[in-house]
Amino acid sequence: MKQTLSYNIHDILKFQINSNTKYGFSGLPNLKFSSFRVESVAKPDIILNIGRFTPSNSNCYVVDHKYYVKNNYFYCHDSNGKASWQVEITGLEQGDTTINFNIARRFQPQPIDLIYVPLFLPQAFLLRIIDYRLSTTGYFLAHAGAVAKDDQAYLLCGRAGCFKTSLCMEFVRRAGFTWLGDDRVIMHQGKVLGFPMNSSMFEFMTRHLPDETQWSRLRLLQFTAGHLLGKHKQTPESKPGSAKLKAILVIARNSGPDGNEKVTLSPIPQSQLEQVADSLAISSKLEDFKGLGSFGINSAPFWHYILAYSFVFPESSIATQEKQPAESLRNALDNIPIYKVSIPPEYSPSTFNQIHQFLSERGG
Amino acid sequence: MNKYYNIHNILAFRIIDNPSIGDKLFNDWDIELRGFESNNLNSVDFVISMGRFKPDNHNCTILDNDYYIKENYLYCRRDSCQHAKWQLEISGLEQGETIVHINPNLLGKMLIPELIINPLIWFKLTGKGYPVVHGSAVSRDSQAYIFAGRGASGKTTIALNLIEKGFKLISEHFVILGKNSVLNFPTPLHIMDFNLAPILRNNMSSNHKKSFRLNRLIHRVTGKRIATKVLPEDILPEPLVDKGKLHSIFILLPGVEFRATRIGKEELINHLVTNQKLETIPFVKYMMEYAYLFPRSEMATYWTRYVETLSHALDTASAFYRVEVPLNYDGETLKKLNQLVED
Repeated sequence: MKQTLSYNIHDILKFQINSNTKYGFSGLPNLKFSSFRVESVAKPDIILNIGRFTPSNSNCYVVDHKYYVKNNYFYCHDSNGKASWQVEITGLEQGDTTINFNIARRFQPQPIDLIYVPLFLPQAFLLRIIDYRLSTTGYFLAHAGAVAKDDQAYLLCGRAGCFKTSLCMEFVRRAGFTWLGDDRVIMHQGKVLGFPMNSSMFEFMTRHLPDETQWSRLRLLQFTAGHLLGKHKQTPESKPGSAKLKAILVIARNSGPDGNEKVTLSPIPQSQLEQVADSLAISSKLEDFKGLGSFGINSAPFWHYILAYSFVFPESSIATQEKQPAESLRNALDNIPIYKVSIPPEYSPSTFNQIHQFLSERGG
Repeated sequence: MNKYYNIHNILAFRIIDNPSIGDKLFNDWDIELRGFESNNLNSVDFVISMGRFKPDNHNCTILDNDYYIKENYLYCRRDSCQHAKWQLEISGLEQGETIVHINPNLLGKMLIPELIINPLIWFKLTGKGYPVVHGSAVSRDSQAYIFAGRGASGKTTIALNLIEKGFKLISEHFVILGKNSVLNFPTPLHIMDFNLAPILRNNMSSNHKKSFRLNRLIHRVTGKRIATKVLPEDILPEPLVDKGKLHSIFILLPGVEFRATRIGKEELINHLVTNQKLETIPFVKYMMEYAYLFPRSEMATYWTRYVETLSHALDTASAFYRVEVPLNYDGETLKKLNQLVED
């Protein structure tokens, strides 16, 4: 079944997803980016086509038997974990970008993956292209969560498993904050622009679960069923907001000796600002390895694609960008208070309480 | 098993392995490293201990649910590559005695030398000022020529072809660059259907032929390429040469037609770094996890130091080329490449 969905990211980037697949679950392709959904866009910067396509990979350089590269172009037939796919990207560096994606062949299919892999994998590639396009226009797509109140935003940074999502849920549920995103947000000149992904899933979790560790396959089934029956909102009432960056919390989940349940917060001196910026930049790159882990895809396919392209065109802007830490990020952090937050290995509501209390004392 | 390995007296390490019964069927797992095997050594730079272990992961920061990291220490609770799985602990990561504990499953064990031990060797060698490059190397009159590139770019084919023209093989897979010199990294030859040069076909033993045919069949059925690994001394008429003086480096890029361009040092380094990064997966993941917490550490600045040491080592070379070659090598291409080397 055919479907065209249009999206607009804060008027910075516009994109379109065209799906033409046999996995005809109406509405599901709209999960990840639904917050940015609009009726239509005139000239999309990026188009993602999901479905069969014929690659135009003649006259290419071939890297590692399988990556086809020419100027501004990439194609490969790839497989990892439970999925096997073809992906073609035209306009990789310049001009409008088109991503063609097709699930090619599958091993060990499991029903739930059959629904999600064909949807999330191409959208993960789309996210990387969005990331690259934002960076070329001076915006930085940070791997972090953010919540805001009275036009003041707290940025929550940390690798997976440090309860960014749970803390966002609590800020929204118990302290009246609005959610700007729990996995990515855009940083630009002292401001945080919301980049909420899978917002209906976040709402579902906030409503039904005490914290993210309670998420399970059963919950996913319940959520999917609700989604297919139209129980969840397809598009939120308001567009993602933005707020001034007030403070950054760098969250570290510690293994500690057992029984240590204390949360500690300590300011990070401004002299270490560059290191924090470096960590944030590394965190974004690490998502290539980790972001698809739940689908058994841990070989960082997109990272390979970028490197294969960079190997052939070492002077290209993609290759140069891969090497340089984001300048725009450093500027965005200037003069913003940064706190290191150490939390115990297991999540409990008291973790949030202690963080919230600390921030309130500092005038939050 | 308790074996010692010595890399040109620059770096030494030791592997302790207590194989389980199943493992004993696969006692060839360290074939990648066999070229460095040595007598007992008094001191080593790192120790690899295979088998179950109890991690010392207190007071760590937990990243991505699987990584436990503190200063000078990394523990990965689980990692995998297709069906290969392993646990990894490195203590003394940057300072002091480096001890690596690895607990792999059967398939994992076969891949450990390439996925973990090799990258660790490169990391340590770079620290000592000897960067490693993914490529083959031959020598004549002690002048060394390196062919670097990605998979299936013809590194092996061109090197083996030159052997028949009177050159000597230094390395087939990786080379170590030192000040003014090229040192061999004696891995087994990785034979696949596309690099089966006449010199290999004629000298293969019947066991190697059997394994080669089986691997080719696996590739046809599953699409997965498996190299047949043969020790150089079992198949080549002459032993490997252990070093040479760097003369020139050729970056091989399979594309449409033959075209050779002379390039500068900086462009060459850019090619080499990306090439090496692609070889260093998944180890690069551990480097990044550690770098996330310690962005100024040796692990985090590895690629910067790699570039510096490379730049230093390449100073004395006379020429660098970027060579585009057709996808399928024919006699014509090899002739042109020979010509380029002769010039």
